[in-house]
Order: sequence, then structure tokens, then C-alpha cells
Amino acid sequence: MPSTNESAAGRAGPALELRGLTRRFGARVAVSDLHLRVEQGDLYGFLGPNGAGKTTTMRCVLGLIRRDAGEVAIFGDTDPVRQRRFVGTLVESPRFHEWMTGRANLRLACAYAGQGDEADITLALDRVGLAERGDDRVRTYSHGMRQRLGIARALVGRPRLLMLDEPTNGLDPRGMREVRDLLRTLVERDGLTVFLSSHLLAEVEALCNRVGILDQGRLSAEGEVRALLRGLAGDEQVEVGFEDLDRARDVLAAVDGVDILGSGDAGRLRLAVRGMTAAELNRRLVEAGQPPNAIVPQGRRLEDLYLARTRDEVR
Amino acid sequence: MTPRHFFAMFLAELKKTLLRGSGIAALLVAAAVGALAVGGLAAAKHYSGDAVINGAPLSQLVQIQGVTVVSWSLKARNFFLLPLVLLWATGTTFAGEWREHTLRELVVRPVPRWTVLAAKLAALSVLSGLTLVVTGLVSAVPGAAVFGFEGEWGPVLLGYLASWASDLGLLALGILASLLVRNVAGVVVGVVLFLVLDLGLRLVLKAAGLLGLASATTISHFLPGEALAAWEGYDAGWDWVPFTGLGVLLVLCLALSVWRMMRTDIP
Repeated sequence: MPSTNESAAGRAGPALELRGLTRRFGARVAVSDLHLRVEQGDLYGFLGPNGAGKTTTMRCVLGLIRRDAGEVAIFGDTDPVRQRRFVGTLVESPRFHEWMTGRANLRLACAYAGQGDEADITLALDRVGLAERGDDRVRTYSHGMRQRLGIARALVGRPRLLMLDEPTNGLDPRGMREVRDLLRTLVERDGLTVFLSSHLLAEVEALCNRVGILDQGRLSAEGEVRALLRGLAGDEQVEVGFEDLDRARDVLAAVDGVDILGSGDAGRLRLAVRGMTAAELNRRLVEAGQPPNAIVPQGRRLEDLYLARTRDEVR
Repeated sequence: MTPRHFFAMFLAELKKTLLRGSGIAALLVAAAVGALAVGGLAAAKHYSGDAVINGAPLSQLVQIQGVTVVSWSLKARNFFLLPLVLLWATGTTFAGEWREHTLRELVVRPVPRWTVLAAKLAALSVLSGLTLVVTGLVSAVPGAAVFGFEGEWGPVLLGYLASWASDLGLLALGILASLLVRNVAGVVVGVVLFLVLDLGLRLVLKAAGLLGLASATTISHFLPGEALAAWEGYDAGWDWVPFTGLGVLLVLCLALSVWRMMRTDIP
């Protein structure tokens, strides 16, 4: 039975709040004065290039590594041990006792969580599609099954915040879809909050309502996905179809304010267009004797935002 | 963290410790030692029945009773193999889990790190106790049946109890080694090397004592090797010094282990 303070802490505040989190490895600053806020009920995407500090941030929050400065509050609770009772986690590749069954590994997790019972374990296994393999030893599991078991382990212990590092890593397309659906259900039906780190930008864009982009240990963008994309300045992108693509390339090369980015869908060319509308582009192409057979405006993508707000990974 | 929560952690660790290879090996070795002691002494009695030394029958010179079997079992158990298996179990529990990143999955739970260490130590100490019970039972039951129940059982049983205390010292040493080298083989080899160095130092100190440096002998009694042999008092006469050394060893190793575990990043 939680104490009054614990219960109160469990209701108050954002699901996760980082205030000035800093971690150095020798002279290198992995995470620098990071302020971040994840509201209850958010499905928050945490993005960034390799080495940006995403995993370090998650490991600091989970108490796996010490932080040099800053504070972590989970549902308003700043006690570094007690706050973890609200958290289910999947950090990097999930590891298990290979000689134990999947179910036994979850029992171990429940024992350490101090919460959860056999019914929770069965439900978690069922939710990740391992109901029939739960009593098999983990050494017989495929990579994707281990990933699913890792998500199941994050779910036992009755968490209210899930911190998942690349949760669809190693899953086949069907498995990825199932995990995405599961995460949506957990947020929308069960009221959980999900903090998700991923490199799959399309997945994050489809799944998350808010994102934070980390670059060189600093938050370079944070907010509602739609609001961030609306505020993204720069070239418009369109896909344009032609009868004769080779001739079209020559014509487009001579048009000011148009750059060919590459191939688009259905044999179209993907173009970056500056200072003109789709109608203006159409008029210019007609005047140049190369009328397009289709112009498809491309909406802003999270990828564009990501590329705009991060530097090259190879530094 | 409630006592109930800790007890659940302890039970989970105990189950894991008893079911993994090193735990099963420890129990099998414990049973084998007891069985070999009974078999060996029975064979010795059988084949030396007519032997005569200095005109006296061997059976009168060396009287084998049930309690003798249990005592020999304890000495065999503590001699070499079982302490090595216990070190292996300790290394697997700490260094092995560290290396395989399964320790990470425990410390992300809402538990102070020192309780993870405590739960694991408690589980290992139960394993050690069970090996003593197994060795004792496997040697005592057939031993008493074959050689009789006569003899002084009390001191030998105290020897078993003291062995458990000595095992705690060994486990604590293994835990500290685990947190330093994070490699199962490294733990076993490291502790053995440490004890060999300790033996060498004790021999040097004893030699110095024989040459008139009285304090050298006193110091040698407090060294880890002597402390880990505190159980031998049941046969050689109890002495408080090795037990004091054992207490110091236990507290020092556990304090350093907790300090190390609390401060170290977990991969």
C-alpha cells in the first residue's frame, strides 16, 4: 500500500520533467542543461542523431548512471528511487536470463518492482503476442520475440510512464504495426504516458503527439509535432510527373528557384521550390515547353524538421 | 521499500541462484563430497580390517564413527572444490549479470542498489547453507548407519555452523571481486590469487614470528585466509581471533561493495 506522500506524488505534475539535466563523460558533455517536460497522456518522441545523448538521458532518468547536475521529477516525485515505481522501461537491447522462461523473467521483474502478479504477467505476454511462448526458455526466442518480451517486461509492475528506447527495433513490419497499435492503446485507453526514443522518423510522426529533438546533448526543438512542422521555414517540396523525364530534367535545371532532389513516388521527380506556388511552377513549365502531368505538393515531414535541427552525425 | 518487497526480491534471487548451473553444481558437489566421505571411509575400514601397526590392529588405533564421517565430510567440503563453486556462483550472480546487462534490469526498478546486493547475498548465503545441510545429511545418515551414532556430535555441528560463517566471508570477498573485475572467471581466479598471496604473507609473518617478532604472528591471525579458516576451530580448538578477522573481512568487503555499487554506472 503506497504511503500518502507516494500517492500524492503519483497524481501530481507532468509525467516526466527534467530540469537542467547534465552529464559529462570526462571532458565530453553528453547531455547539457537539458530541460524537458512530458505531460501526462503524451506519446512523446525523443529524437536525435547517434551520440546526441538520448540514451544517456534515459539512463540518467532511470538511475543507471549518475547525473552531474539537474533534477528529474516523475509525476512530481523527485526521490530517485521512489519515482521509479511509476516507470516501465526498455533500454537499448533488452537482456534476459536466457536459461529462464519468458514468464520467469517477468516474475523476476515483478518481484523487483514490488508490484504486479501472475495476472499482470499473463496480460503483458498476451498484449505483446507471446501468450503461447511465455513458458519457453528465452534462449529459444528470436530477436523480435525478445524485443516483444522487453516491452512486456516494461508493462509488468503496473507503470504509468513507459520509457522505451527503440521499441520496434528488430521487429518485422507486422510486429512494428502491432507495437504501434499497442502503444496507442496504452495511451488512449489505459491512460499511460509513453516516452519513446526512435530513429524511425515516420513512425514517430505517425505515433507521437509531441517530440523533442536532441542534438549534441541539447534540446534543439520541442513541442507539438503539428505546430513544429507548421513553423518550419524553408523550401516547399513537390513531386512533379512528366511524360519525358530526361527532357524534363534539362528544362528544370534552367528554371530559377527549382532544385531536383531526386525521385519521388510513381516515377515523379521530387523538387524543392523557392518563392513560388504550385500554380506558378506549372505556368513556368508550360512556358518552357514541358507541361507536367501531375504536381503533388508534399507536406512538411518530421524528417525535414529533424534534418533542419540536427547536425551531421559524423563529427 | 518494505520488508515484504525485499522478501519478494530475496525469493526471486534464491530461485534464480538455486536453478542456475552454478547453484545446481554446488548442491551436487556438496552431495558428492558427503557420499565420497562415507564411501571412502567404509572402503578404508573394509580393506584395512586386518592391518596391524606397531603390534596394534589399525581398527583400534583409528576408530571410525558416524560423527567421524561427518567431520571428514566437512573438511573435504571446505578444502577446495566447493569454495570454488561458491565463488563461481557469486561471480555469476554479480559479475555475470553485470556483464550480460541483466543487472541493469534490476536496478531500474524502485529499489535502492544496496538492497539488490543484499538480496543476492542472502540468496547466496542460503545456497551455502544448503550445501552444508546436503553434505551433512548425505554423510550423517549412511555414516551413522554404517559406523554407529556414538561420538561427540556437538562440536562437529558447531563446525558446520562456523563453516557457514566462513562461507559468508568468502561470498563477501567474491562480491567485492565481482564489482571490481566484472568477469566470472576473473572473480574465481582473482580471489584464489588473493588467497594464495595471503597464504604467502602469512607464512612470511609466521617466519618473522619464529625469529622473535611476536607482533608478526598476531597480525597473521587477522589476515583473510586465517579468518576464512575460522571453522577449523571445531577440531583445533576455538579461538576468537579468526572470528574477529572474519567479522572485519565481512564488514569491510560488504562496505566497499556497497560503496562501489552505489557509485558506479551500470551498463
